[in-house]
Amino acid sequence: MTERHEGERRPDQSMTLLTSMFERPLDPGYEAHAKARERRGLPGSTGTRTVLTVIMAVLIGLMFATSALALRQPDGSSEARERLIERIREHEAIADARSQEIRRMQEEITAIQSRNLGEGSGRVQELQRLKVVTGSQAVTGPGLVITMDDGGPEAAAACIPNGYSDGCHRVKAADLQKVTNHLWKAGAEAIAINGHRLTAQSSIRVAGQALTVNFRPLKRPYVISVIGDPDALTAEITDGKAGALLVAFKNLYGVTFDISAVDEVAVPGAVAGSLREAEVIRDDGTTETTSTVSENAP
Amino acid sequence: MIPLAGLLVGVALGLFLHPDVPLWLQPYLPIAVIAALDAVFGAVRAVMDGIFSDKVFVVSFLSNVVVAALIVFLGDQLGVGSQLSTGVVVVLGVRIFSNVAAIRRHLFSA
Repeated sequence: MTERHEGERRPDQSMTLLTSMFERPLDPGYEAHAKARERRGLPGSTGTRTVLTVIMAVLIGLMFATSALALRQPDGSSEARERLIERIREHEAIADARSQEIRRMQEEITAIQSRNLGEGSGRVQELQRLKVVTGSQAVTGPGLVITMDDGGPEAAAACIPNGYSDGCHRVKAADLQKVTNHLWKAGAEAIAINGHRLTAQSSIRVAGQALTVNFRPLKRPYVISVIGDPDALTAEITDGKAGALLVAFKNLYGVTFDISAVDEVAVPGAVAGSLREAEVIRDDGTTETTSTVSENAP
Repeated sequence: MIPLAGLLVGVALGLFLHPDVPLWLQPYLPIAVIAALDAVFGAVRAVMDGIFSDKVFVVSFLSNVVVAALIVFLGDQLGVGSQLSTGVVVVLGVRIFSNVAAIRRHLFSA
């Protein structure tokens, strides 16, 4: 660099920021401290083996690792999606726990009812029969288990070339509705899809791409548990309309199904029943109608 | 060498413990890391020049990180956050490069 006289301005005075950035990247504190130490007779450098330096080194390493872990997480849609899935799982767990609680209470109510109605009176039997028919009572018995699932990737790829809409290989809510309707007609006594009992007020719908039964989403494969006369049901499923539907789904769209007749299939009760009316029977036998309590259907 | 071992110990600790960074601190992390890098390379160069001082290292590191975070915060408040941090990153990057070049000269006499 050219020599400067005292007070004479450098030609590039206005660029001091950039020049100092380029020419003096090192903190001037180091030089100043080194000079001060040398004036005191100590070596210029304190050496790197001081406690302070080592502690700082550990802290800096910790900081690098922490920020790398924090900043390197994939952001954007995938993380948001992961969090949504987590929240869905949490809420599903809560819903399942509450369903358990409701079932427990329903059993309690049943026990109290049979105590108060008196064993052996026609009322208890009538109540049981109605519960099975309406679906609030869990039942076990001989029947069928039908498993339906979406077609594979080859079926998916064949949809549009075959003239069907995209996604034809997936099981639709209407498919489940038709199959279960034909099973009811063939004499099914109780039907559940993936553990959700079908009652007179049940819905089989679709939300986005998920099928829902009683507004609870289903995961594939769809397991239809049917209790009824196994022969009648098997006849319906092989020769009857339900069977024809299943075969058609398979041949046209690639939807897979599997049927097995079982000696004992357990069908759970519906979880939420709606209480519409309640009557209090006084001791003298007269009744007093309380206000109707209506809640949403399951 | 010992500080290098300390650095590796710190990195291992961080990977093992996986401390959670609070959400309000996360926007300042990137610039704090770059400021820390600048201080570290400055310290390495000072060691090679023979004028290292641990006090100056601590002070320069802390002030770098705090000032960088403050600039990001100020920029966010003023609404010029990305421009300000770009400027800070450029300056710190240039300093890192110059210090690394000096280190290279010391190491390889090239």
